[in-house]
Amino acid sequence: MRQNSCISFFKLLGSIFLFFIILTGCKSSGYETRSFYSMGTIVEITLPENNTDVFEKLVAKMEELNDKISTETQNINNAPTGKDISISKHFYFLLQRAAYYNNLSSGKFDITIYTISKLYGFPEGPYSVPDNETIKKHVQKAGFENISFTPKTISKKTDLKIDTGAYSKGYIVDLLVDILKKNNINSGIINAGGDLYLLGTKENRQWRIAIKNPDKGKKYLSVVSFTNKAVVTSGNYERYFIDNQKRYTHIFDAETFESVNNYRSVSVIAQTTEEADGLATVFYLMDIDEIGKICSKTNTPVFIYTLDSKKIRMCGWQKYEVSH
Amino acid sequence: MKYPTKTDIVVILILLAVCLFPLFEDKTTGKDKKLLLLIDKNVYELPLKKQTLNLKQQYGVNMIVETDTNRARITKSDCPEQICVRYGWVEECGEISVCVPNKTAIQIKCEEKKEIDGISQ
Repeated sequence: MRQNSCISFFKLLGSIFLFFIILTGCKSSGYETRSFYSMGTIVEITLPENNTDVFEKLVAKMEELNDKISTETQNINNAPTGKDISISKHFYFLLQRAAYYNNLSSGKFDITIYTISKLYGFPEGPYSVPDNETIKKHVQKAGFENISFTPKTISKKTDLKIDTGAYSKGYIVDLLVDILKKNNINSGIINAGGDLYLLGTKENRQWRIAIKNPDKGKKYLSVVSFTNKAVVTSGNYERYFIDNQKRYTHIFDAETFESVNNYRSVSVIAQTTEEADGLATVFYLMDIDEIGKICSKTNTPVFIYTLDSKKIRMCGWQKYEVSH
Repeated sequence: MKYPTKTDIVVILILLAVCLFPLFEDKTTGKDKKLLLLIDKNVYELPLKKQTLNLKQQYGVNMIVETDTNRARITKSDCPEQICVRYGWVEECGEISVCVPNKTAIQIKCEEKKEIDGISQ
């Protein structure tokens, strides 16, 4: 009898012990995050542990796609006018999206605006304001109507320059998400310098993403939680320069050919990273009323941080918001 | 022999205390903060203590990083736009200061920070 109660006592202790081992074991998240430099920014990939081979696949694919798109862009930019330049299926997709965003923004968003923004030193500097003569000369060349493309080729009517940087990074993220799915990974985050896709859930809860406050040390602007969607922010506080007390951001309006400083930041949630990326720039170029009209059509929640530091939530952003 | 003996109980209690300890650990202190130095595809960890580091010799980039017990900043760099220097201190979990031309960044990581999984900026 004494022996029996002793055994059950130890059994009980044993189960308590195991229980706590399991509990404390949960503390380590079971995820691994790797950070590295790619596509002109810091990329952070979070995956369930023990996926080293997938990490490596993703890094290699990201470099390959980025090189491919950059090389194609350079070829097009360096090509003489009137010549047919062959393009990949990826680039054809990007051109179709360029036409879509151009149309959606009534011409404000235009990949040929790089003809002008390049004169200021964007995207990577050194920056300076070009003289009026130079701008005038180049304004005539820019314009989406000056390029024509088929699924296989593109040609330019003028000596313009294009840049798909506003949304091609998002497109690459989406292609990496496809690789994750093919490898049967259904939980993780790909964060390419603040362009994020959230795949699945983190164990038993949804991923939580904070929108950065441009004022250092201040609370996040908003925290959102969702699954199998992307969030991207375009702001005036990362890529810009100041000349004569005027802030020149990297976002240019193709109607006025000028750098635009409309908001401190615009964040968009969409089904794909490419769409969130493109729309964040499109919305940055528009006034609040126009954004409201478009986001209800595209069904994409928007968060705007205005120049006077007001927070505006549109098209259901608050549905994804969690307290923080 | 009587079971359990006093020694058994002491051992069991110690084991329980060890198991329970992580549950009550303070998660908000700087203890779980890490400072990462990212150069191209490589990640290094720098100690969070008061010092000034010249990255030239060990890492081959023309930059100077000043570290503190819970934060760090890039104080000198040969990047033309000086964006990383102007950024100032990185202190919050996930905060990052990037020098694009050198493919270099410093970032604060909080291992057990559960609330936020990423920052959109």
